[in-house]
Amino acid sequence: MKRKPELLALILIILLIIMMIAGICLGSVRITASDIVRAIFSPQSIGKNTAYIIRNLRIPRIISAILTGAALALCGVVFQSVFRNPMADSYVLGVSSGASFFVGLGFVLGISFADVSLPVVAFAGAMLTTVLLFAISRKNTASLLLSGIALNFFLSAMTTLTIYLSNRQADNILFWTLGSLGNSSWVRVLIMLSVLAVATVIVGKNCSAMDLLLMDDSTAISSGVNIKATRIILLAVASILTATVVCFCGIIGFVGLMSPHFVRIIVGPKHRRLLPLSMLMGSVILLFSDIVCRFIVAPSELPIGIITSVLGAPVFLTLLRRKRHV
Amino acid sequence: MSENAISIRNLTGGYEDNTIIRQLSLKLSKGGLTAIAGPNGAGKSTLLKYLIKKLRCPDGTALLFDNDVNSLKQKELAKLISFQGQYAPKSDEFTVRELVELGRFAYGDSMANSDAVDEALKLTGIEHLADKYITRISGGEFQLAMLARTICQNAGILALDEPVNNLDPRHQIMLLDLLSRLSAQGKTVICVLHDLNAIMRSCNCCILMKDGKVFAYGKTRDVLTESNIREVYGVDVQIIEKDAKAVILFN
Repeated sequence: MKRKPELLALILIILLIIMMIAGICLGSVRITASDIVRAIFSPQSIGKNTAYIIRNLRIPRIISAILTGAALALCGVVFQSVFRNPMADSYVLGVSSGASFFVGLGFVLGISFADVSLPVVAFAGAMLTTVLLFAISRKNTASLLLSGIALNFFLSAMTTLTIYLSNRQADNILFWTLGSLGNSSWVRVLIMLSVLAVATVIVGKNCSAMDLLLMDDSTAISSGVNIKATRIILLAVASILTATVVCFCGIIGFVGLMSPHFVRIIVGPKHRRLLPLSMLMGSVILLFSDIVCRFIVAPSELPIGIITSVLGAPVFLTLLRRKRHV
Repeated sequence: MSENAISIRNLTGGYEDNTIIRQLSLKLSKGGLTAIAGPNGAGKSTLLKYLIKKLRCPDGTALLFDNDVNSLKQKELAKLISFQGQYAPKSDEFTVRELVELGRFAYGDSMANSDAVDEALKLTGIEHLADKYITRISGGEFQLAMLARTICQNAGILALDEPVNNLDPRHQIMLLDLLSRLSAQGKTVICVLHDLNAIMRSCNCCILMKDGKVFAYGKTRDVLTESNIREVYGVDVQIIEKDAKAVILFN
């Protein structure tokens, strides 16, 4: 199969635009495409409520979906490269669970969460899990992955325990474990955007190094990669980004795992192509999932984590069966 | 600058609880194709790992072109020595060209220098494989692609760990001739080889290692003698000279 990165980019961008429009239009209040244009350029010409819904609910939400999807995919790319294993992502390794467990623990201990402290707690959880992961298994990347999976089981169980223990906050905690874009706002979009931008620049600069991390250590080192420093930087960035996503949207599975896989099949393992296209793919997948979860039980909505996993698992299994080298 | 490409002073080391190399000293002058031979576990691969800083030695123990390896950044080191190991994975679907491009890492992130890549592909005779996936080529072709990667790193020293392992006789000779041509152009080529006859045929110099030490080092014909081979490997051999060539027969 010949590689067609440009074609894939084009298709993904078209899909993204279509879904952005669909994402704004669909919902409990029907909105037409011309409403969107008017809401952006002359909000006075349409009803106050419609303008508010478009400008402060729907648009932040779809941008949130785009940023979160890209962030999850970026984390997936990083984890898969650093652990030299295509099954790795922040969800599988327990980094997400670490963040959500800490949030749950906070709720149980009765810490009240302002918008500021919640990210800090989620962040601490994600970072601690990453550090713990390294402490448990410093020998090789295979044991690191298995330790991560074990850690994930443990932390998920602990999160469930926090749900069980906290009667009144149970719904709040459950929200973290299932994921939702329902709380999107412009403030959150801006925070997410800045973290993602910094992460993208740092990881983007390390694209060639990540290519070499896929080889054996000796090859990477002798080619000029400081593998220890590179791994630490990449993991720190991915953990911070994971923490940011989890504290705003809870745990959203499979997107980080799936997006790089899809893209790798079409454009190969070179990170200079893999990274941007995976992020684009992540945005499309998450945007689509968000539309589905709002549409399926409208006017109510399903947690998006359920949709990504329900859609993701069968697609992923099909991919695994088709491809020999995974 | 002195004439030494590689200089090692009294190196002792190995892995956590397993000392492999014992008080090894070695000076290798610039240029030439030098083989490292010796039984399994003699410390051949370990020695190379110290040169690329995969393993850390004390300051001042290992010098490349008079630079202490410990004082060099990884990228600077990569411009002095390139390395080809035994265990490169071929699980990812890089094309041959993409694999070879990896050798340009030390020269900047753009990897724009496609001339160096083209030339390395040409030298190794695998231009026709450039767009093939490394998962779909033979073990020998992969070995050549890895060599092209090592060459396009354009370092003064090429260190290779068993580069001819998967190759048929024709490719084996082709590869060793190529290494010998590179050394004639001023590169210092040092490679671990097990085939003593291949060493006899292609390498000017040979380092014979035993128990983490240099047992003998010098011109290949002086090092690979019946008595040295007997003592190092514990096998009985006979060296037959014919038409100015020497062949080692294992009895």
